[in-house]
Amino acid sequence: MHQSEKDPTSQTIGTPVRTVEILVNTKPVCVSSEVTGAEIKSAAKVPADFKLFRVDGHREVPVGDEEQLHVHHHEKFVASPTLDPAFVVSPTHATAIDTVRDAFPAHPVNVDAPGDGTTVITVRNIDVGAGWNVTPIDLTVKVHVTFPSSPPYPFYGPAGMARTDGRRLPQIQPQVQLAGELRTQISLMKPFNPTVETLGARLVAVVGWLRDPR
Amino acid sequence: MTWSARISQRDYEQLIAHLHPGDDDEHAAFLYAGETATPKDHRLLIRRVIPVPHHDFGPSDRGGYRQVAARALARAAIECETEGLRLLWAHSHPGAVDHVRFSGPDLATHNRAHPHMINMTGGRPVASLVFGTGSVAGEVWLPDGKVVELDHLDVVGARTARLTASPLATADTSARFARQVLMFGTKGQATLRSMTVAVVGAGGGGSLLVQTLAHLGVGRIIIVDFDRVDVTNLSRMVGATPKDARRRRLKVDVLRRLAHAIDPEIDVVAIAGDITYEADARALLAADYVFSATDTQFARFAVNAICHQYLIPGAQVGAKVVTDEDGAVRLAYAMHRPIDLGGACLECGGGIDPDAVRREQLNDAERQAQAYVNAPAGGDIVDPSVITLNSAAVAMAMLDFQFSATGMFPPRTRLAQRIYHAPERALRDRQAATRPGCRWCDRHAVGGAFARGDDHPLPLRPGSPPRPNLTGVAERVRRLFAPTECWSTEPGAQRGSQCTESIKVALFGGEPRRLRSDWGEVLVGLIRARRGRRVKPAHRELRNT
Repeated sequence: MHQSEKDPTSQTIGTPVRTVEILVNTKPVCVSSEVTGAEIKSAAKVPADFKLFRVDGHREVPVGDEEQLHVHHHEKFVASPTLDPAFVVSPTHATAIDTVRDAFPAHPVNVDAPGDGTTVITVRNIDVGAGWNVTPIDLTVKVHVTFPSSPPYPFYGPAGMARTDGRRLPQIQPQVQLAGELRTQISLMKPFNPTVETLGARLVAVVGWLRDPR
Repeated sequence: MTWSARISQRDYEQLIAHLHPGDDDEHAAFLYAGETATPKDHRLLIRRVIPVPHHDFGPSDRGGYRQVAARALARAAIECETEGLRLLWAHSHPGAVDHVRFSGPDLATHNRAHPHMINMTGGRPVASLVFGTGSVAGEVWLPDGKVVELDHLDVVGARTARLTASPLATADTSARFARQVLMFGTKGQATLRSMTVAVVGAGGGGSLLVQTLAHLGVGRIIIVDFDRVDVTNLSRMVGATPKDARRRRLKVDVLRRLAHAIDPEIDVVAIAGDITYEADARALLAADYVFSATDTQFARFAVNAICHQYLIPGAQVGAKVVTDEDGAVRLAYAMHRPIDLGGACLECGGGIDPDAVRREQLNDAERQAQAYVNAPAGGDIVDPSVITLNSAAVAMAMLDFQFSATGMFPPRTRLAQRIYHAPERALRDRQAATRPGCRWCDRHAVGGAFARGDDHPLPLRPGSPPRPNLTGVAERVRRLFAPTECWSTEPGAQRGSQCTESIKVALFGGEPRRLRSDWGEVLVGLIRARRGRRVKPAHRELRNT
């Protein structure tokens, strides 16, 4: 294949322009023998943001949108999208999860994205001291799509948490539902300023309160 | 119709090491797969894992978290299109352990890219998988526009596991397995119950395998053998009785009876067939594990081919006694050759004699004409055989099966061939390596069959063996016709009188008291009616009536 600059005289002194059938993503497409990358994508009806590649044996050779090509009959091209996965709904949540991992480097951090825009983050095996009937615990928080404008609240531990001395704390509700599972709700609410506090720091504060609930 | 996927343990470990390296970040990989369709489900068979390098998985400019570069996808699509494979892409969700699901951005990417990926790979299905450290969710996009959820991913090899998007509920197990559950756990026992295990060869080794599988609680056993019990089998075939030998019962029927005597709830599929024929071999595709306990090299070749082409783990068991001319024992050993799909196949591991495979396909005339070395005049070689050696081989194989099926082997376990030399009381491992270019176990071999599924033809005899698979009265009739069938296919033989004579021998010389006289009359009448013609059409006619 020859690549050339766009030259209006080339048709008269070189190969005459004609219509040829090329294969784009294994489908036949008719284009002019002198054609640009963008024109090939347009003729093949693939989105303009896809990247075009000429197939050379087993290799892929990039073709720019403005690049002028001389194409042959049944020459193969691939128009490829990017793949953009994300384990959470937004990069903001991903950053927040990083702060949790930084705050609890010795603990596994589990993440679940239920598909409704929220992210459920669980820090595993946290020792909350002998004052509770269960320790260590898995500490969970559900982060909403509006985070950090909306604060991380409430927090959850395993169902049935209670003080060993029998003291009842208003912040503790031992039997609530979260995603179909019974948990203990830990209702610690205070203003959250994302410019000075991270999600990891807030969870550290919750653990501090659990170890010494005054 | 459900869709599932299957990957060898070696490839899975490579994939997970890339997707979850411990950095709590997201990673991606491409998987190239073959495909097979069974009456119950479609299965993607993962042939190769291609990690997406860090420089091709940078931050997303479309609002997602990260982005597989278009060029990396194009390269993978070209390779799949060229090799005729399906393109799967996988990524990880850091923090997901035993629950995982696609995020909103993941699903948006599917909608945007998958229809084009189907075209890029020549109109084949594409799929996306998301991995937790112990879970997987997936979507399969079909060329007709349908989207199907992936039911599960089976990891097969030395350490078998079934991965799903969330943990499966484990059913209670029967009290009969209470002591086993203490070792395997409820989940391990339930896994055994859900398994289908095939045993090829129903002789000495095969009978021990079936007996042990039934005791372990395997839910479904497929037994394949065309042979019948004779008196020489009674010394080593578990479950066979002198009555079975007198009646020349099919070995598979005897083993079905044996399995049901141990556990009536086991589903036993007894196939009086030959897996060197494609139609019978396809019965093994429903299996989760295949044992080869057959003496013939061609059957062993068939098992090796099926296991690697369809990603079914298995093992070959056998025993060998070699005597010198004076009858003194020179060698006596039991051998277990695992097929763990991560290392050398039986061909590369020396478990298949290529020339013996060829010889076993010769007809009588060719065999006589070629008169190969060491062939006894006018008969097959009869090797010494004894149940103790079979038991040793089966014990080694069943231990590996049990640990593999219940996931009790530690990660990165590789199963070597193991030989027990009885006279020396020595247990030795034999390491084997994949021969470069091997069509069965080298997944980079051009035109290779590893994990190609239905895309690659099975190199077996087409169709079914020329032996009708009959039961009951029809089976008894078939047995009577066997000598005449053999005779009638011989060129130049005189028809008629010899044919009738064969029937007479079968009727009155063989076991006259066990045949009803009316059947004899029917048979002789048919022979007379068909005099001068092959007996087989008459036999079909009888079956139709």
